[in-house]
Amino acid sequence: MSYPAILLALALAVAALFAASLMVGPAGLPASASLRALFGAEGRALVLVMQEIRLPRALLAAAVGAALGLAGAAMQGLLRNPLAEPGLLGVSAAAALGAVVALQTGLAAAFALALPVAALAGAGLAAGLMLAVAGPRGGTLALILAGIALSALAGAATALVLNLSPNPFAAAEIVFWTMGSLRDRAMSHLWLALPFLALGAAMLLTARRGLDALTLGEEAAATMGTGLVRLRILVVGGTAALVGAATAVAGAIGFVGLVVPHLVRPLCGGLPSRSLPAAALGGAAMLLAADLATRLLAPERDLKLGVVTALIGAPFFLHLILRTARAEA
Amino acid sequence: MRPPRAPPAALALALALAAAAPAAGGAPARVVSLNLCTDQLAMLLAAPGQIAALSHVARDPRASAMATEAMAHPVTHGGAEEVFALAPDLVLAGTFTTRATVELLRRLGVAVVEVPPPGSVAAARAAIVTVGAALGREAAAAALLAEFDAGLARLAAPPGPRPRAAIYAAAGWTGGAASLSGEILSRAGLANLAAELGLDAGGYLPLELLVLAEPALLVLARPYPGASRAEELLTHPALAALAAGRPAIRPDDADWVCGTPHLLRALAALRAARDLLPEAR
Amino acid sequence: MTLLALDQLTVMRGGSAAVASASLAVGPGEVVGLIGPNGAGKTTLLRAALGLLPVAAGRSSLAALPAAARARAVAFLPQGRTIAWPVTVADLVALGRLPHGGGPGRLAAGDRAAVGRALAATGLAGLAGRIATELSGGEQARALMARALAQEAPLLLADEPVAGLDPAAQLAALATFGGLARAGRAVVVTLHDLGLAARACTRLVMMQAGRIVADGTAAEVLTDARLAAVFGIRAFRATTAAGPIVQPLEVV
Repeated sequence: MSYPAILLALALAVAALFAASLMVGPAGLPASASLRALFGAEGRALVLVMQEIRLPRALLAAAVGAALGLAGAAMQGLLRNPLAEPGLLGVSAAAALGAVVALQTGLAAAFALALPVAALAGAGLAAGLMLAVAGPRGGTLALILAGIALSALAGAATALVLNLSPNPFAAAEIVFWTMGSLRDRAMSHLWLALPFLALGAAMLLTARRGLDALTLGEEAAATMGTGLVRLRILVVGGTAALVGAATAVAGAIGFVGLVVPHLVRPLCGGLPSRSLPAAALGGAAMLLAADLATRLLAPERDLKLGVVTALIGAPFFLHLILRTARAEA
Repeated sequence: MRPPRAPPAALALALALAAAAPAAGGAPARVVSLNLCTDQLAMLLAAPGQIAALSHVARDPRASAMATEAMAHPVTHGGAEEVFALAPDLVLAGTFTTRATVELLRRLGVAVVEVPPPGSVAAARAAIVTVGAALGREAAAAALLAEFDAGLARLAAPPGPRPRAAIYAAAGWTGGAASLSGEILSRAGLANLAAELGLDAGGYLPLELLVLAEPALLVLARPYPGASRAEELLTHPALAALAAGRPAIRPDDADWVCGTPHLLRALAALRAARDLLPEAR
Repeated sequence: MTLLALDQLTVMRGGSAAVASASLAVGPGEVVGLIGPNGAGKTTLLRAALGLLPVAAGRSSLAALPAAARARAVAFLPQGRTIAWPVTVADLVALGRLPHGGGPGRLAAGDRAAVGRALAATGLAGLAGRIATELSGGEQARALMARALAQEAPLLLADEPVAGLDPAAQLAALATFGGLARAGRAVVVTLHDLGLAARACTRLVMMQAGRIVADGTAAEVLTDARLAAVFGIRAFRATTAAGPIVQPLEVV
């Protein structure tokens, strides 16, 4: 299959899953009425359900999934390591910490943008730290161990902040921030995240050529005219914007950025510049499917998105570790 | 709208009478309560000086219907060591929480009475009897029960239409027919949407089902200080649009979280809201 | 016209000079063999010349250029053979066109021709569609060299390009360098094989402990005294009809 054909196939999969996401819900509405309600031509209650409940959920699943897929592909490109992933490296956990701090200090209530900005700051610090740990050679072991340490630290700090909250419900939400959910999200969440998602995506797509050059290592890339400092700023900043905004509205969702780039890379010929758009589409498809699964598997429970992505992603991760270990042995 | 905060005059009288009665022989002299609901029952029933400590939650005005009264008593955070140091001769506890503490206290030879969380008005009445007996305050318990029953009778809904109401609390939780809040709803002359949807014990009510059901009355929760995503749901635009077209009341959580006669306040508030509904006429 | 000019270049590492006051000029038509024992500073000299390392003193004409202009003035083939992703040989070689605005998936006619020349020069035309990371080590080395050739810069700096290659591939690589020189370009290549260096390079530069200790033709540089003093070896040397022969014999 040619590259444009692969992108088209992925886009069609996203469209189909998006439509399915709009059609599936506890109310079991007939498809034709749902469709009319989506465009405002039905009873008031049905219009509310389609436009204010199901539409934001489906849009957020697609946007957050695309962000995570894109961020994963870009981090892997920068670190030249197929195991680099915002969730595994603690970037998502640090973003969640930033979001929780913004919420519990009241900053987010005073100034709505404080929520994604704080999450972005957490993600940016974590991604920068991981870049420093990886160093120019990108050692896998140091990177993964540092990711575990950072995830644990950010997770513990998040739990601490939530436990100290005067709100009795806050402590019960540790699982949301570590596993993520899109239940009952509103359009306002999408509008809050969208500018940061757009900015992050633009930064990462600008970095595409530089990431291609990095295929040959940092020295060769530098002598081919790639500004390494600029490239790192673009990728770390873009990843922080994407993961920060996604986590601020949906919680930390792991493994999408690991699984999707790994699946699309061989289809697109390996180069980061081609993997990036495909990983964005693939991420949207995966998260839409995972969100559908949470609704179909346990409609009466608030099954977390991260549970589904981890059930798929963790075995994948083990498989990749074994393969990397064999390659390095 | 909000029910009056002070207990009805008759209840105050019952309290005064109970306090005046001397403790029976063999009644525990140092009682520690570890649970918000037993805290309130202890305050309603115990003789002066009989309470050694209450749980710290008893002083939280958001959760406790008797926060002011609780200021007069010492509080504990409930660890076995802390409780044991108070040298209690009776510990009152709930059946769901503080399990490990209760086991440990029993092994240390402390008498523990466990009171299940109330799932119905009948269970609430039984709890009053249980705690009254444990405290050696049977007369006070009987007086309190009489007052409670009188209130229930007074507030009982007349036969007639039962407008549909939906309880929608933080994180989308709702009380079913088999829950205390569901029974209060029913006694107030309202039909419970959760029961209609098959949620007998209560549980998560999907927002889209709530919006489509268009209940006549919304029973919502009051937000706590500090932020939580669970309560952010209560500001969802779909819910706001639904609430714009119908009355909503926000009863005090503290009034119907425990099976005490404070339930009457929640019942009165719901009855009043129901009687104002056009569907109730 | 010089393609590379180093003037008193000094690089400090851990308090001592890894490269000390090195001066060197390379012009079109030259294949300069940079020789010296391990740790003599050959790789450091190349990196500093490219501006990849901070320089303590002196200057390099290449390091002074803006990054984009430098990428069109010199191609660098590093010692570490990194191919991070499973890309095709054709895409890998096409990366060499990035400095010219091309690259995988967006090759203009000129770019396509350059990639074709590089594949032909390295004998990889038949492997263009294969995944580079699945090739043998020698084939990967040739693919990476093809990438550097596709950059078609006037100067090529190659760090140990023939290490680990079979004899035919080694001779072919150096023949390619000779061809570049005859076409008016220049190559600076670090080598450990003195025999190969003597035969394939138009000029040898010998380094020891960060300093350039000799610079000239093979006959001028590879004297018994220098081989003993710099490399600590004795070698058989002869001039034959097929060119000069240098064969290390023993450690002295």
